[in-house]
Amino acid sequence: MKISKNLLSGSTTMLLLKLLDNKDMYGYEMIDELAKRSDDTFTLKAGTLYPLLHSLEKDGMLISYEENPDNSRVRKYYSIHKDGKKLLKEKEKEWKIYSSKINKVLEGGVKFEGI
Amino acid sequence: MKESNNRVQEYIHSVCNQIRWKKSHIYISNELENHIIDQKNAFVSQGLKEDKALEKAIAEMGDPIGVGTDLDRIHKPKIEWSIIALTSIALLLGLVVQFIVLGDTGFSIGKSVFYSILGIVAMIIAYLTDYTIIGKYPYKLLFGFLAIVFGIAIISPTYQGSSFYPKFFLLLYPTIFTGIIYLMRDKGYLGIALCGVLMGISYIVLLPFATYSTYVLYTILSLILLTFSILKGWLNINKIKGMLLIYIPAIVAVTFILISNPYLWSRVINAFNPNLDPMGLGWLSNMTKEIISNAKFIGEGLGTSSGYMVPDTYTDSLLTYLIHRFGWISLILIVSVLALLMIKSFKLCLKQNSILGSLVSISVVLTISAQIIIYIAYNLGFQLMAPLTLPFISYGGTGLIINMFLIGIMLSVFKWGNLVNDNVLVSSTKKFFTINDGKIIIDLK
Repeated sequence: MKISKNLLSGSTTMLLLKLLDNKDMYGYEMIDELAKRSDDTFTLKAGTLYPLLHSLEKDGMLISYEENPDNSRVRKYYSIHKDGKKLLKEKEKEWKIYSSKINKVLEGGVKFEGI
Repeated sequence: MKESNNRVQEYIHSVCNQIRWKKSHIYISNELENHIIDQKNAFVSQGLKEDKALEKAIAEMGDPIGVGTDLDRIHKPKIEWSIIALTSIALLLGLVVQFIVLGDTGFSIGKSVFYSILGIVAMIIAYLTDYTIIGKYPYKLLFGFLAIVFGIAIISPTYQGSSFYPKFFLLLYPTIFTGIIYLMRDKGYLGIALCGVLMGISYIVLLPFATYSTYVLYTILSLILLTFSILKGWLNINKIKGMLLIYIPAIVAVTFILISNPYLWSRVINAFNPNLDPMGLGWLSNMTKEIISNAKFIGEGLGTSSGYMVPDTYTDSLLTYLIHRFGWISLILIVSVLALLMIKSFKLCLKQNSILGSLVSISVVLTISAQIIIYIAYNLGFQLMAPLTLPFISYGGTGLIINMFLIGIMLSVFKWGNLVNDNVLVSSTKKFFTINDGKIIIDLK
C-alpha cells in the first residue's frame, strides 16, 4: 500500500487504475486514452507514468506481461491485480468524499449568497 | 524491426545512468524506447516530419535525470529477509539438536558447524548467481549435471547398498528440469513429449546407482511441476488433454514396474502393513511405531519393550529419537519452523510474475518440502520411501550444502522480483518443424 508520495498525486494513481480496470494497456496507450477521455485535460508525461507504473507493479497492484499482438513490436502490457482493484475502490471512495465535501462548501457558499 | 536512433539511445542512456541496478536497464530501456517510437509515430500521423516528431517525442518524456532517479528508487535488488531469518532459525535449531543428540552418541559438533558455514557460503553464491541461466542453457545444464552426478557416483563410497553422494546432488534435478519445461513452453504437446523423453534419458543415466525412492521422488516432483505449468496455461495446450498426456503414461509405467518387480511390491505392502514381515522389512517401522506410541508430550518416553533404540539417531531417525527423548513437543517445534519457512516461500513463489521465476522457485519449495514430508513419515513409522535428510536439521554435510544452495537459488529469483519479464504471449505459435527450401528445420530453441 505504500506508494511514495513524491511520485504521484493520489488522483493520477486512481485514474490509471480506472483505465486498467477496463482493459489491459501498455504505457503509451494509457497516456493516449487518458488524454482522449478527459478532452486533453489530463496530459500525463511518460516520465511520471513509468515510475508510477513500476512502483504499482512492485507493490503488487499491477502485473505486467509482454505481448506481440500484430507481430510488430513486443509491448509491455499492464493488468490490474486484485490488490489494485481494492486500492481503486478505496481511492474512488476517498475521492467521492473529498469532492462531495468540496461541493458542500461551495454550495453552502452559494446558498448563503442566495439568502 | 527495431527503429532505434541515436537521439533515443542518448535519452535512454541518461535515464539508465541514474539507475544503479544494472540488471534492470535492459527491461526499462525496451519499454521507454517503445514509448518514444509510439509517441513519434503519433506525431508523424498528426503531420509532423520524422525528425521533428522524434525531437518532440523525446521532449514529451520528461527530464531523463529525474525519471532515472525515480526509477532508481523503485528498482533495487530485493532481499527476502524473512526467508533468510527462517532459514537461519532452522539452521540454529539443527545445530542445537545435533549438539544434544551427537553428545548422546559421543560425536563432536565441530563438523556440523563447519557444514553450516559451507552451507551459508553455498547460499550466498547461489543468491549472487543470475538464476535465468537455468532457462538460457537448459540442455547444457541438464546433461552437464547428469555427467557430474554420474562422475560423483563412480567415486562415491557405497552406503547401505546405494552410492552415497549422488542422491544429495540429485536434489538439484527438479530445479534444473524447470529449464527444460521452460524451453518447451511454446511447443505444445510435442513439448510435453520431449519433457518425457528427457526424463527417460535422465533416468537411464541414473540407473546404475539411483534407488527406487529416488525415481519415485523425482517422478512425482517433475509431474507436479508439469501439472502446474499446464494448469497455469504456460504450455499453450488444452488443460485436460495435457493432463491425460502426462498421467496416462505415468500410471501405466508405475503399474508395470510394480507388477514386474516383486521386491518393490512387497516394500509397498509392508509400508502399509509392517506386521507382514516384522523381522525383515517391517522391523524398523514397527520399532519406530512402538517408540513413538510410548512417547510423552513433554519429557522422555518409555522406549521399546526390548530396550532397543532405532539406529541412525542423528541422521535418518532423528525425529523418532527426539520424540522419544524430549516428547512430541520437539516434533511440533521443528515442524513449525520448517512449515513456516515453506509456507512463506510458497507465498512468495505465487507472487512471481515470470514463468521461469515461478517454476524455479516452486521447484525449490517442492524439493525441500518433499524431503521434509518423506522424513517425517519415515520417522513416524510409514517407511515407504527412504529419507534423505530433514532439511537444515538432521546431520549431514552434502545434504545441508545442497539445500542451502537451493534456498540461495530461490532468493536469487525473489531478488529480481517481477523485473524478469518472460511472460510473452506469442500469438503465432512457433513451429518445431519447418520445411524451407526442401530442408527440414528442427527448431530446438
